[in-house]
Amino acid sequence: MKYESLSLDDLFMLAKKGDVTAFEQIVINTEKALFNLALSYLRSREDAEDATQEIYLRLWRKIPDYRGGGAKVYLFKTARNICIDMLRHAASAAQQDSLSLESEGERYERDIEDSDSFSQPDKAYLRKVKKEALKKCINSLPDHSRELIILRDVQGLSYAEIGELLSIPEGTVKSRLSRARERLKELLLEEKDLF
Amino acid sequence: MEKNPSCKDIRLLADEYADGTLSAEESKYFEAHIKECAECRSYLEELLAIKKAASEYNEEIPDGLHSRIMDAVRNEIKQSGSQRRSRALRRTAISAACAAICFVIVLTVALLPFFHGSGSLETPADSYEAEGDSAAGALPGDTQMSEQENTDPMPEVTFPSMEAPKDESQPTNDPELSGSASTAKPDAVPEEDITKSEADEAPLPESAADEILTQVESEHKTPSENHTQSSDSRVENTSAPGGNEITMALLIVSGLLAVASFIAFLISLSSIRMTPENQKDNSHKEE
Repeated sequence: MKYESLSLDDLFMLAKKGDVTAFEQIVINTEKALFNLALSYLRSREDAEDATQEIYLRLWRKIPDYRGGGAKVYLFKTARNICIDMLRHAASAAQQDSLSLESEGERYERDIEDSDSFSQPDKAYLRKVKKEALKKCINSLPDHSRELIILRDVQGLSYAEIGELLSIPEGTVKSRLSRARERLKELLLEEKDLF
Repeated sequence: MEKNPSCKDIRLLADEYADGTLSAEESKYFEAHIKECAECRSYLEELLAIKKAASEYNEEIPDGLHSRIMDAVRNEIKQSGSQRRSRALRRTAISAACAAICFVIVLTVALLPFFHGSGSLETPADSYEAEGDSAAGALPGDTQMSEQENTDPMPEVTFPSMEAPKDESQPTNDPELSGSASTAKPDAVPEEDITKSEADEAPLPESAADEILTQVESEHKTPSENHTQSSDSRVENTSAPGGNEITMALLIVSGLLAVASFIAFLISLSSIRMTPENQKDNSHKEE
């Protein structure tokens, strides 16, 4: 059986019966998305790694109860709940975030200064700097706006899936997403040197 | 610059157009407008750039994360496998115990009448045999009879044919002679004895004999009447509800419980077998 060609729902149904190979294929297909989702919530690579491991452990324990339909939403809901739990339990998460932002900000400024020393800036280096700036802007958004941008523009979930995940109507998803993009655009325009 | 009312509507549709979720009709309307409106076209281009930039937000996963995830999952499988086996064993033991208890209940209920002896299953014929074996005190008529015996001893009935042969030496049935028997010959019976025996042997008047006969008949009838009364009461007992029916109901319920427990026991056994087989299959697949 070729597990690579199976859909996420089919892999879920196989893993539900105890098929470890099917479960591993689920991990292969979704680990990047879930790691970056955790990173967007927790803003720390170490915490995002721990969260990703916990997400798949909890998924393995819960998957026998899976009743079919919406495997992607099921997976993202599990991931979101774990990340929010970790945020609540981490008493010093705010301090760590501020530290990480400062460190990101410091790195960003250092990168800009370094780029000025080059007569012809390296394109790849510039791309990396732009990416760092983008991350900073997205992380600066309010939590709900950032969450919508990540789920729609980064992870590619549909309006219906986002509505089901966040338990809000589809119309609310569209209006909030429009405002989140507007705010992100304003932040990106502030980085006018790069964008 | 004031926005056109249609530009306001277009901006609302821009996000969905960028996401590819507009209907065909709405897409045509949107595309027709942005062809003519530079502002709305610019707005759409910015929106597409943001989406493209945001899509590059994803970072690569750290090295070794995938193997760490799968090692943790495999450890979880090993631990939960042993837990599931012990849980299945516990379930099997409980099911077996329940089946055994229900079986004992069924046996007890089924054998209860045999231990009880004078239970409701006793037939009328058995009761008659019991009465025959112990006729003294079981029946109400018997007590009546014993009371009569105490108060009125049954008179002895002598019939003319049963009188003792006359002795020729003895004087004839002459009252005068019976009275003066004391001066008779020395071999003669003493006067008192003679009067007694003669009185005993004297025929009873007919009315007295009839009375005695009727009394005897009535006393003979009484036991049979008692028999019918007792048989009626027995019939009433056997026809009373709750006797056999409760026993049957108990038997059925206990039997069903025993069957259900046995089925649960078989299912638990099969679940124990499934767990190691499943693990073997998985390890085979991983290889």
